[in-house]
Amino acid sequence: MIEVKIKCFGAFRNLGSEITLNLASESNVGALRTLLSQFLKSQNPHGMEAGLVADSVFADETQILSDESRISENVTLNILPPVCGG
Amino acid sequence: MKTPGRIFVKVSEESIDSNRVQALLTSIANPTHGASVLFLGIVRNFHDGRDVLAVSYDAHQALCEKVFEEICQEAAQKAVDEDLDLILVHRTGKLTVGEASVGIAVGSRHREAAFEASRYMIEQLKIRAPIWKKEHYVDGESQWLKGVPLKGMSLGSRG
Repeated sequence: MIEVKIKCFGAFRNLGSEITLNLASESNVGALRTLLSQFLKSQNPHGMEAGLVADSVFADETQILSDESRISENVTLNILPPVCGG
Repeated sequence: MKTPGRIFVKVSEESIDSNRVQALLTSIANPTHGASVLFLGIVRNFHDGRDVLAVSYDAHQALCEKVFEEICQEAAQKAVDEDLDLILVHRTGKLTVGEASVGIAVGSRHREAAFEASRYMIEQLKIRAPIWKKEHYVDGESQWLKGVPLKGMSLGSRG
């Protein structure tokens, strides 16, 4: 298993600063997206955060990651919901 | 590829007050430039029919500054026969009505290029920069605003 820490931004801050999930080895970002959505639904079936996952992107500290990006070791990523600066 | 003039970007809690505005303008002063455009985005006291007291800004600083840099480079590339100086700064933290959340300063030889670049920068910032805002209302409620999904954005995407 791989431990993935997900830093929360924007509306995900309602859940705290960070979420930790255990992901199957040799997974990809798409699998992490599914796992996070399921986790949030189990925590709060009526919350809006689970639905927000579909419109969000995962990123490391330098770039946005596609759903096909491999996750092969313990890592900290960021979840970025839709943006509205200015 | 065209070489832009000076570019400065920053995302921080630092206030965009009159001193900082003056510093922005001073930093783009250039004897070859005949135009300086300063744009400030200000926290407004209403939105979508609700009375707003304050707005909290959240951002991923490193990614945001990377996006700002890209936007400035693009603005410079668009300005043919110009040598733009570009500044783009954005605040984080809780701002009350009347405070500036974003500051854009552009110096150019001619006014048209400065207007176009500043408009490009604010419009692109709104749809590409990892920044989020939470409005705080007079009635005591608060909520994160809906935004534009970053899906499909090219910020260093890798497969």
